[in-house]
Amino acid sequence: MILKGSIWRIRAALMLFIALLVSTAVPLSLRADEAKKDNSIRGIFVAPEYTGVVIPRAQELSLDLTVKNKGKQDELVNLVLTEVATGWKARLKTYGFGITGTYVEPEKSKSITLHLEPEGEIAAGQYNFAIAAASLDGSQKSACRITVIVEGISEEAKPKGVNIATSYPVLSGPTDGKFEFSLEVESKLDKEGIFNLAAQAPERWEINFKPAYDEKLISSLRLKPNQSQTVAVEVKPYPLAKPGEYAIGIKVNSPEAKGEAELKVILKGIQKMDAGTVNGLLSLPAVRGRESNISFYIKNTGSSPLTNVQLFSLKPENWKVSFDPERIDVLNTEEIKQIEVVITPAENALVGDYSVGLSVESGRVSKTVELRVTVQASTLWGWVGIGVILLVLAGLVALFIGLGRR
Amino acid sequence: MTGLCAIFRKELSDHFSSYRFVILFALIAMVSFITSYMAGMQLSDNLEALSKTRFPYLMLFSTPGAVFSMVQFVAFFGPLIGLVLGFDSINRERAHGTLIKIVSQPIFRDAVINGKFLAGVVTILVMLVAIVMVITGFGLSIVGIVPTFEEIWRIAVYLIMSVFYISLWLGVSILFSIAFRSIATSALASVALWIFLSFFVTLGAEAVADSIAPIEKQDVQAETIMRNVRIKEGLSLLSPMVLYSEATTTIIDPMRKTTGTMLFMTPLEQILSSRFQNPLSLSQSLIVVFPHVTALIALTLICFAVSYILFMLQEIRS
Amino acid sequence: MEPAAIIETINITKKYGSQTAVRDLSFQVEEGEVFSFLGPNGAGKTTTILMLLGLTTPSSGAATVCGLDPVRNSRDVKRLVGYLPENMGFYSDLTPLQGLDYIAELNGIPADVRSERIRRSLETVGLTEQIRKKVGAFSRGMRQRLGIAEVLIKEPRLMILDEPTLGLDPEGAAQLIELIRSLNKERRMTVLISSHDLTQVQKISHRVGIMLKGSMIAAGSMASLAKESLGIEDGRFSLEDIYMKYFKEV
Repeated sequence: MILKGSIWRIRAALMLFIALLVSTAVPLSLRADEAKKDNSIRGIFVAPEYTGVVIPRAQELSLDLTVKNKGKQDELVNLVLTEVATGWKARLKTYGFGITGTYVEPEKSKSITLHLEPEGEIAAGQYNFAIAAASLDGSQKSACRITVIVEGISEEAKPKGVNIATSYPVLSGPTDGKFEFSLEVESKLDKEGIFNLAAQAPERWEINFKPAYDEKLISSLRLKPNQSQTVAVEVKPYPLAKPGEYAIGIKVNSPEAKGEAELKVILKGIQKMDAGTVNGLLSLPAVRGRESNISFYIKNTGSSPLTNVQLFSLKPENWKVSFDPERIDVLNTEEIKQIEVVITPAENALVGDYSVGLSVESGRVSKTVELRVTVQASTLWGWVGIGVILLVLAGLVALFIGLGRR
Repeated sequence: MTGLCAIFRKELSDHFSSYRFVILFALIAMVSFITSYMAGMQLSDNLEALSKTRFPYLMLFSTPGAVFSMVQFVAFFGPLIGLVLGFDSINRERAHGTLIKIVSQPIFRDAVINGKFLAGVVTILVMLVAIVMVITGFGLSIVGIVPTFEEIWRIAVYLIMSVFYISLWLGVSILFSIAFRSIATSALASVALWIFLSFFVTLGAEAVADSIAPIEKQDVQAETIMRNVRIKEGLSLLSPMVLYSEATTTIIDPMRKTTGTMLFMTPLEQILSSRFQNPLSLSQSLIVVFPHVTALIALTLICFAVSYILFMLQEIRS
Repeated sequence: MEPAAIIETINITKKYGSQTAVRDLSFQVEEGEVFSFLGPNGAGKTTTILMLLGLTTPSSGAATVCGLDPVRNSRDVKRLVGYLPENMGFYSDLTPLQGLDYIAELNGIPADVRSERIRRSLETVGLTEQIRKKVGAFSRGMRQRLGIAEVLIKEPRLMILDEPTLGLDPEGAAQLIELIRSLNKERRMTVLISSHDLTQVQKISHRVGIMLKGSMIAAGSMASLAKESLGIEDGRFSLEDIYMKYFKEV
């Protein structure tokens, strides 16, 4: 509006300038001739550029008026606002100051501005303004009217500065999970603006804003008028948070506008378990073909019970690995169950180290423990061998005794 | 005991002053040194790669230098030392008329054979220890390989097995020198037996295995191959050389987990067993080769016992 | 103690498979005498000697040597009895002194007295001068004397000589017989000789035993045998005649 006003003012100035140029460029002799010809003709005229203006709501207006000297004599014209609609303040002005009259050369016109300014609330409706012009001697008169119609679109219907929309405002999942909401932020401003992003979350929760499909973390957003952009809100709940519903308030602020949205996270608790050997050792000696035992524990370290806990092993094909119990139906939070694992290496296994994997699975949660099973040969054959050698030695000794004393 | 000591001493000095032993000793020692030296040079060339293999000292013995490794060489030609030490021990004395003189001295008759066998064993021991020490020496000085305790123990076990292996052939040759009056016959018989057991048994085992469990080219199944291999390996064990080689290579190489050359493994077993590349402990290596070691020691002792019985029951008079 | 028999055998028999080498042999040798075994090859002389030394076991019967059983106490018998085998050999790679030293060691003679013993026995057999030579360069007579020197090292009570003069020239044989006689005379050493050399044996023997096919067909002093077989009593007999006479009888 301010801008518009200034444009009009420049235009008025330009016109004046051209008029001056023309008036000086015209040969004096010619003017003298014309003046001689029709010196007595006089007449002034004032008219607005637009006689009616419609604006959506009350605002400052600058309207151009043209004051024309139709005669062949110089005229000094007085200008008076004869009618000003109530609630408005009207002024005639040019450049920076108000005027009450002007000088118009013969057969020239001059632009002046009618500046309208609403005073306080202006209701919708039609507002009339009248301007009267009169020459100095009062012989020449002219008047014009301007009608301003305020359409009066109500304040309530005025759109907010920013609009936030999300398709999935409620997400649920495990406590140790990550929740990612997708927000669409739309600027309703009629100019570009920078919006700050802020979130209100339970204590120790981690909230991050990211552009969609990007890993950058952002804290503000620049939007052009009517532009919309998708922002991802990543929520990492506090790991020890109890299962339940948590609200997260999102605020998108700029100096001109404010937007708010509420997101909801439903925590279902953590599905987590720990497993390992009871004695903490991950190595196990074993004799081929013979059973070796190891105690295994499974602990529910999460905040929700584990169901259908199954045990699997990764072992050489001809080995045997058995679990007792083979599965656990329900393992409550903080509960520990001991599993007896029996590993039987194959009869023909090589001596040395083998890897045997024991894994525990419950739904999406699993834990694998790798054991180093050191297969040892049975010392039985060693003793048999020593026995054989001792037997032979005994035979030799018997020989020495039987035959040696010759 | 005095008789045994006297005979033992004389036989020992005889061995170390006899040309044929000294020449053979020199030959074997030289080949062993060259082999190990070349192995050492190879090792020092790629010592960076060796940092992973934890037993460079043992590799001096097990890495093929030129064509064969020191261990293989001893397995092949060690028996010759045993044969040379024993093939004429009894029948030469008998032929020269010194045996009757010795046994008519106030000694027990078995002092003769015990002393001779013992002297042979000690000679073999001295020879092997000397060779191993020299190899250790240049391993230290030239290649810069310092043996660990584990390696020293393994080499000690290797030495003991080698002494028994060569002593087995000493026993065989002494047996033949008792059984045959002629020195030439006993020499030929022992060499023939050596060649037969060391070289032809493996060939024969292959032939037998191929005839019992033939491997057809069209249908190569793991089981048939394994059957063939098992028969072959089983029969090959009749050869003391195979027995000894399998035992010593397993002792010298801690990464070896079996004495066999081929074994059948299912895919998972293979992956899971190669997950940890740890060497075997000495006791485990020993248990793996214990049947071999037992057989070797028992064979040696039995061979000696047979010679002993034969000698004691034989008439002294020629 | 009566003048004990240093050797006594009672019905000793030695069988090799079906062959009988010695059959029911009973004889005695007294301390201090020279006893000669006579007989053809294969008569069982050497077998008997081996049985006396415990080097072979009798199939039946018993023997006593120096009061000991040679089967049970072979080593003790051999400590007291010196034996010079027929065709005894020497270690070609040892010098005579080394050979003697080895024998001394086998006899358990302490190292400090060994060289003295060796010197004395060499002196006795008269080889002190020649001892630097190699055994290969020895004459047969010298070899036999060296053999006796080896026997003497153990200072035996009884010497058993198996064909000591075999292959010697008459001079060498005579020297050896003289050595034996002097050992018997001067040291009162009992000597058992097995020999074919009847003329030499006759010079030193107190008693003789004649063996044939494993049995002793005659035993006694030469005079008594001469009387028994030839009827000669004046001592003018030759051992050969007696020997041949007994042979013809069998």
